[in-house]
Amino acid sequence: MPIATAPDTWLQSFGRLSEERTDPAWLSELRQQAMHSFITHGLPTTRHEDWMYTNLQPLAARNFQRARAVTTPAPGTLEGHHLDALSGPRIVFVNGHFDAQLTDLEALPEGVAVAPLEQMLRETPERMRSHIERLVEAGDHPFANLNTAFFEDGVVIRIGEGIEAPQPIQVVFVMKSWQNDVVEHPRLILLAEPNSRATVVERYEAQGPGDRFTNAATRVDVRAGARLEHIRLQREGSSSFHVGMTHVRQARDSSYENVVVSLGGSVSRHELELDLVEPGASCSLGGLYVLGGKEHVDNHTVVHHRVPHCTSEELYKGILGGRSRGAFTGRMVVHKDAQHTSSSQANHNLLLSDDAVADTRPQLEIYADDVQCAHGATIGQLDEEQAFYLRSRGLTPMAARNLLIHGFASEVLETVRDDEVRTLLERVLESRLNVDVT
Amino acid sequence: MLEIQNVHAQAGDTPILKGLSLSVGAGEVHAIMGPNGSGKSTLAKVLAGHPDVEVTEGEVLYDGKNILELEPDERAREGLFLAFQYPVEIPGVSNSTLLREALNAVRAHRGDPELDAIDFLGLVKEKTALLDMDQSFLSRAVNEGFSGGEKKRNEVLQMQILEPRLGVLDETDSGLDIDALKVVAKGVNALRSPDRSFVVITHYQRLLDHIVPDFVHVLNEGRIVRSGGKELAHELEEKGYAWLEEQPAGA
Ligand SMILES: Nc1ncnc2c1ncn2[C@@H]1O[C@H](COP(=O)(O)OP(=O)(O)OP(=O)(O)O)[C@@H](O)[C@H]1O
Ligand SMILES: [Mg+2]
Repeated sequence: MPIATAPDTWLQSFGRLSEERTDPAWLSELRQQAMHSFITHGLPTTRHEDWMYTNLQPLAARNFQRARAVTTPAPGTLEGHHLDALSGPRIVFVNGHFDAQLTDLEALPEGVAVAPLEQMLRETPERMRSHIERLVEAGDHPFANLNTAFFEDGVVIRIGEGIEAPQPIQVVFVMKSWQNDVVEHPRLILLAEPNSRATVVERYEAQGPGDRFTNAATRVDVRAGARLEHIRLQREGSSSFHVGMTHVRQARDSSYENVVVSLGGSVSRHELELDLVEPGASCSLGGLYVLGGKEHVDNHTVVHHRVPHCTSEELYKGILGGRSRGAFTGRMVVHKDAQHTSSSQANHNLLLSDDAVADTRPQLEIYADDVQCAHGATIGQLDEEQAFYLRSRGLTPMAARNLLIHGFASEVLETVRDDEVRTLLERVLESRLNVDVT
Repeated sequence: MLEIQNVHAQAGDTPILKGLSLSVGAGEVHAIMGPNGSGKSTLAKVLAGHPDVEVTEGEVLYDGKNILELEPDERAREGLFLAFQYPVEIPGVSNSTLLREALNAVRAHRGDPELDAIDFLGLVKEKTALLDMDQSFLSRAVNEGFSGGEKKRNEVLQMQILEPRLGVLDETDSGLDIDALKVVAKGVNALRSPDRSFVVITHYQRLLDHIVPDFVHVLNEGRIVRSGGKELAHELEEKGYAWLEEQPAGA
């Protein structure tokens, strides 16, 4: 039995959205189908393999309303989000709607296009079609369906062929609510054309009281010889619900470097799925989740090695305090033609309290014979001798603890290539540790 | 400056120190020698406040204050420094981060302002040069992959930067080659001053040729069984510890 999902609320909301929008016919139809499928299937229970660590009941019980565009906050009001920490171009969405005032695309280099999806759909709907349809092709997924039915805006980023973007491009979604139970469904499309180089930072932030739900879907294409660094930072706070999915397709000799940082949430789930479809593609997947209180983060990754001579490297680390729970599933599928695959996967967890729980589940499915695959997982605690050593140098217990946690996390953060981005991540990690991760 | 009075200490249920007393005056260097397992490192741990060692009896007064009531980090900020016999490796934490945080913690306690990045770098450069250390050590993780000798040198670097008032060196000479021994001794001697004291734990006379002690003590089975001047170290070098067997401990 799936979990029922307050269908009346969703259907009403869907009805109003349909009235407000002037979508092309293909999109209206796509939305109808997705809505139908979502209502029919409901949400999976923890008996579903892919959802065994995450109970969606609390989310299903809510009556989420569409988040509305707000009168633009003065730039200063978004302090604390370190929006200025990165000097490059940025595009900002508030409650899922494009915010021209907080957006600054001045520094956008020649050959790089960044635009709100809403605008692209208005101006060149046909060009968007295949990108939008892709998500549905990936299978009947409840949250993908929900996103398809409800997405209003998002971003399209295209790094032109052979273009090297010198500064990271920042995409920020800020939920700013005064009322409870609002939802946004951003849709992102990233295209790295052949032989391009770029860093894209995708951020989810929140401001003000109230519970909220973000249901984001990102589609990434890394074309031949392109190199894309893609950072995903999620930190809407402990009362938020977050479901995100990132689907990546990698062409010949492309390189994709992904780091997912989750700083908590009531329920926070991210699915990362990679398709290595041409030889010579390589990916590096990093993850860091830091939780306290009763927070819950579930990282679910799948890498499909479909062709020979591809490499994947994955390292996820969890720092779990309070009564939090952090789950990791790493599925690695080496298809039968994918000879000479090299892949490694590791998940390490640091428990800061006796009540925190780490779940780790490697799933290796290897159908080719000439491959190199390694995986490992650990769950441990802070090392007493290390803590004593630091305290014997004058560091308070808190400072010693934070330094050790930072040391644990640094193995992931060090993989971030862009200096500014790495510094930003270190700063948000630090401010997270000073809150309630005990 | 330091008064250790009749200290009894145990690790788990094992009594290790059994009534140890020692008095160290300002500006003095005391060497502690003694067979393996006699309790030398345990004494160092008592002074630094290691959680595995429990003091069941006795007092340790540092500037008249009972430091057994202080947390390990409070003791460090009060000017006590232990150079560990086996410094731990701390992956992911760079040497320079540790040095900066430690120095700022100690400075804040003394009421001094934080050093800015430039002054800090200047200080660290000066100290690494004094100890013949390569700058690249600073960006490496604390002790990770360091050779035995490099770890010991790193302890002395930290001591040089933190400028404690009481330095406890636990076999800082073991694992050092002859040249490194001289460098480390230079690092310690450069800190010697009328208001700074050292307790130097060692097995070998050769360190004491370079760091010349005012007093030498022999620790056996948890007690100081003999004390003397620097010539005692020479005697031990010649005779070993066999004589300990011949007389009752504590004689
Ligand atoms: N946690 C512990 N539990 C039980 N016994 C311990 C513990 N720690 C130390 N000991 C014992 O206490 C005794 C003293 O150890 P300590 O390390 O102080 O010796 P030491 O004089 O420093 O020796 P060495 O010259 O080899 O460094 C040893 O017999 C040791 O095995
Ligand atoms: Mg010892």
